[in-house]
Amino acid sequence: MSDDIDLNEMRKKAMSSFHEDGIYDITIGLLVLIWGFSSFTDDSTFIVIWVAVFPVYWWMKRRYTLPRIGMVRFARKGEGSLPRVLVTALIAAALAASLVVWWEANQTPKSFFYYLLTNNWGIILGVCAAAAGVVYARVSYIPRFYAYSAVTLAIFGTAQYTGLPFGAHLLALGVIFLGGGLYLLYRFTKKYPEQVVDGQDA
Amino acid sequence: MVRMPEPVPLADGIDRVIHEPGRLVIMASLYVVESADFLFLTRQTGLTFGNLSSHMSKLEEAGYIEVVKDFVDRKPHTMLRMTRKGRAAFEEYRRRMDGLFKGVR
Repeated sequence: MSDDIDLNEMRKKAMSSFHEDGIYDITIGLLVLIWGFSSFTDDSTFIVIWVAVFPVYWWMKRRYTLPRIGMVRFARKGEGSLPRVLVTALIAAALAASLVVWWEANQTPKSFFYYLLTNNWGIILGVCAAAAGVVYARVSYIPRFYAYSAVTLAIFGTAQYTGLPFGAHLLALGVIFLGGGLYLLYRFTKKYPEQVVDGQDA
Repeated sequence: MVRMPEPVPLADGIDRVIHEPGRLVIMASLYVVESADFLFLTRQTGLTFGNLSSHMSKLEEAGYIEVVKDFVDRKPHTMLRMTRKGRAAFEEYRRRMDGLFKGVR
């Protein structure tokens, strides 16, 4: 009897169906686009807009996902903690590297680490971002994030060689995420009609 | 005279509340998540609303699941989750069933 129910497959199915709506992709796309636009200005208002994107995620989940496939919360403890630590470590490493470059910019002489970072910033940023994407794809069972990781590596990796401003690359990446998310949301709303459940909150 | 076979000792103590196929798939669905609402469980289990509701009542009566009020986008939302007793019972059920099948050739 227990062989007929594969708990790993059930967890995979739960995670992949909850993220089938593309709302996660839309949210990331918006964040990257705002980052891209802000790189062309010195306006700090963009930070406020950036933070305001996060409630949009839950508003869209409530508007589109809940009425169609319902709501689920996944455990944050135990087996999920190591990948979260890895992704957090990658992001922390990227921020630390940015801090080192910013600190050493006015120092003389500059360290080898500074030259390593400044001469290869695109590749390093691309590898960090892609690695975070691969780890996330693996633990959340959202295979399209492998493709996003490859695209991110390609865009960031070529950023210092194209002659275009870094913000242009961010805009390109943001458009890819946003476009992918909107297409998935459209497909999701066609696939799952809204359901009415007796006794469920409105 | 027909001699009845000896009962399989490991089959004793199988939790009949969990053993029913509908309730088993509900318990398995809730075991792999922190909580889920009614609609999500119907999609995951393939059960009808009526069937799910009936099984949920039995599981709640046994103390294996509980109803919790969660908030999504600052609005209340009813969720279902397995209790500690339910998790322990489900793990014990898995252990017993694994042991039962290990003895089968």
